[in-house]
Amino acid sequence: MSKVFKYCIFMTIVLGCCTGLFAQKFGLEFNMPQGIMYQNKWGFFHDGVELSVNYRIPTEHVDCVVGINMRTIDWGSQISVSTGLSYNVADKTDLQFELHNGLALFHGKPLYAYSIGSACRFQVYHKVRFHMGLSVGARFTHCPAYKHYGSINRVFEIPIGLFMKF
Amino acid sequence: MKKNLFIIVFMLALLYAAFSCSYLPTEENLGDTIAYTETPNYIFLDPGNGSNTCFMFMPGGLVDPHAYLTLMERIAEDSICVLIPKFTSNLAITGLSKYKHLIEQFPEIDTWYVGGHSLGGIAALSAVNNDPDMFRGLILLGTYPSESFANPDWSGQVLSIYAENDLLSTSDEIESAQMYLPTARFMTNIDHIDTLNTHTPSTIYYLISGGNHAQFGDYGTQDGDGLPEITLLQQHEQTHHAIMAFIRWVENE
Repeated sequence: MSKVFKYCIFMTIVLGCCTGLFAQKFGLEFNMPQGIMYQNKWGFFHDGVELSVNYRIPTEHVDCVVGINMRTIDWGSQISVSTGLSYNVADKTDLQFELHNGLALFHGKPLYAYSIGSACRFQVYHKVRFHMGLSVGARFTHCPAYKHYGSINRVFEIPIGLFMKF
Repeated sequence: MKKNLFIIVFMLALLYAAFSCSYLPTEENLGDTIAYTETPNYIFLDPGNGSNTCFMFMPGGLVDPHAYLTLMERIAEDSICVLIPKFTSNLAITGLSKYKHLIEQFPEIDTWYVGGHSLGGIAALSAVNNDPDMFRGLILLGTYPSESFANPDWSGQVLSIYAENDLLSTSDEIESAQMYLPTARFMTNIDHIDTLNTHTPSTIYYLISGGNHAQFGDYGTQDGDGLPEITLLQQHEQTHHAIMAFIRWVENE
């Protein structure tokens, strides 16, 4: 638990620094990751739910995005910090590449887990201070040390989600 | 506004981290000899003899399902298939109807027993309440029904195994909930189960002296549980023996 707590403190500092130094957009995202492959086998499965909160730091050509993600996955629950780059590829459409580093939450022994993936975000509702849209992507998640406990420790998913930007 | 939202999210993250940690199986006890099939939805132990009897076992709340493999392997070795469903966040209550979908995937199985440990037992009770004709027996490990899961008129047989030093589901709590299950019969020696009439729905209560809550699985110690006075191996042996005696008794109906 102490490791998880320290990790949360670390994420707070990272995000706190971001909010203090830059003017950026705040976002909230709800995802339903649909699994399509586990280990090296194809198979469709519902792989939990995910709640993400992120900050967008705009630059001239690309937005940098950092966030906290809480989700359920095959091996239980997971919390991670994400970093990514978001490109505006068309009107109201962004393409985002992201890397998640986090912990699978287990009593006394949280296990390191990471994800790499991309997502396409389509803005469907737009107001001056509020945007809302849908996202779809592809993501690979791996919890290396879980191989000592179960036979599934990596999944490939299609996260389908709803996002809001403030 | 953003700052407040950030604080709320951070608190949410802390709460999530604090309340969603699962218990991992004891790594060194997970031997390579356990042969099982695992998918994102279940773990299946097949004795490999074409058995058409299966025990669906719901894991306890926030316990990794692999923590029950050492106990369930013993049952599979006695020619009973074992199916352990996997649930979102390792909480059986997040998938109370999942059993139906899983049963459909195993059409070759014609006799189903359902059971569970702790919160998983509640999911098993829910399954029996929803589909009373689907299961031939119910096996509860360290758990008991509340009034909302009561089914005293169920026509199947029930085995309730509980442990003396279990402080999460105490002996008093389990025995005082007997009105929610078929007629109670307390047994000190499970080998005498054959003397009972199988035509009358019963709940067989079997107490494991010196056992505790966590040793029904294999995931170390659990917060709030009592200290065991017997080893994990001894508790598993007694639990396995009671389950097999119960299944053989029901099968001889």
